[in-house]
Amino acid sequence: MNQRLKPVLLAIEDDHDFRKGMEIVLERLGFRFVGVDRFEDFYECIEKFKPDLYLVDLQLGAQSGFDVIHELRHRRGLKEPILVVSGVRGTEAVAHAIELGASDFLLKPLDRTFLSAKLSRFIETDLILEHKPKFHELPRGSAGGKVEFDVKISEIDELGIRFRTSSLVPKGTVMKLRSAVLAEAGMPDGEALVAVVSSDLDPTAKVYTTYAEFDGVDVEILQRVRSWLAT
Amino acid sequence: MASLAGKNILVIDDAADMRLLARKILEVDGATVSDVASIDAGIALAREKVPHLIVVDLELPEKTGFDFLEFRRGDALFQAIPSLVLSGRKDRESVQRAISLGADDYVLKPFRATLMLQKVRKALKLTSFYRKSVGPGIDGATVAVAVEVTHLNEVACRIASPVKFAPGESVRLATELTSRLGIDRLPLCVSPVSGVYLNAGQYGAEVDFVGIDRELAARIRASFGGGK
Repeated sequence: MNQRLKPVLLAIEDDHDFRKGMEIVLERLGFRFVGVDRFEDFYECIEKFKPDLYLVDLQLGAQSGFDVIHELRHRRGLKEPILVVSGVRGTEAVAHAIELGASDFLLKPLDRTFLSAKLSRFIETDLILEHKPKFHELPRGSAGGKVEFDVKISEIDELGIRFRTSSLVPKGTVMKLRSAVLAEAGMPDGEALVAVVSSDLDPTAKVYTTYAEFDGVDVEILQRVRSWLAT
Repeated sequence: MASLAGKNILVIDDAADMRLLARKILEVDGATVSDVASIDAGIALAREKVPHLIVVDLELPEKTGFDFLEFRRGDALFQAIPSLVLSGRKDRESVQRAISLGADDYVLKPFRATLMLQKVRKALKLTSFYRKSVGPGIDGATVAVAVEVTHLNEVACRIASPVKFAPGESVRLATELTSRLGIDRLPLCVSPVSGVYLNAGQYGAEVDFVGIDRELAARIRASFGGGK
């Protein structure tokens, strides 16, 4: 295969054996693997190879993988997927990496099946496609529940709540909103059932301002909120 | 629909029959009514449960309705609550004094139910709602909506929900299935393959299992009969 047709994967990893192991697996999966252990080399390779995907270890001595993610996303404005490969467990490290712009977070140790399944979410080679895990359709109605995401409240009034979110919550959507400020306002457990009335997109900021009215909230509780608003 | 539904109205009058009459009229139209016999009791109650409107009699034995209006001028909370004066005093001087002290309207006793309701509705219509800006640091909130996981593999799943999720949005799933498999403990991230309209007000999204290790991936694979 022509080397230039292979997608280039640049990895920064200071564990030599692990790097070597990744190289063998990834070359077999159809990538051109470039692995380095020093920041200087890493940044040089970005210019030289124009990689299609980055693998970043978190614990790298002087500089951390977080700095690398920040450099790639925010200073250089790179759009390619950045996958963190780390032995650091815990949701805080994962959340911080994602917040900085990482595309995914893979916990060590890796194996070929796991790595190719993860890589297939971001890039495709013929060999990756061969191993791409298929989605299994679940019986209808067998896996219902709730999905949670975070929003930023900008204003509360007597009828409802205005908040900012990057996702579109269409008019009529009924949902539960939980926040410390609602607890302060007198809502039991800081929770309120609300129904979306409007969602307006700010195209520049790519953020929706959504207004949702209190739905089925007890009059006594609304009175508490009103008293809180009046103070 | 009752036009005063959801509105709290405080009636201050020393005459029990007048309080009862006002209560009946306002409640029929959907209002929640509190009533007290003195200005001091009214002020105390309003501080505790801020009403949308105060109806106050002018002639009370201790503090009068005029005293209340004087007090109201100097209090930011009460200034924001429209106040309607209720009185048997028909003289021009009393009416003018009440209005000049800031009363929003004047209802003469004896009054007709329709007139009172008209005046109350008018006063409430002119009232703006209380609102409060929420600044950085305390503005964080979590939203939960109904979802169905429709497809699953060892590193991602597809969901259907009313929300059109933006790529990169961090989400958490709470379903019996994701709980059983241990996926609900993971932070999840909406993939770029998202925002597809399915049907009946549902949008599809693919969600990556972020921070997953190979053991959990293998366990999920095994759950639907997949091999190593």
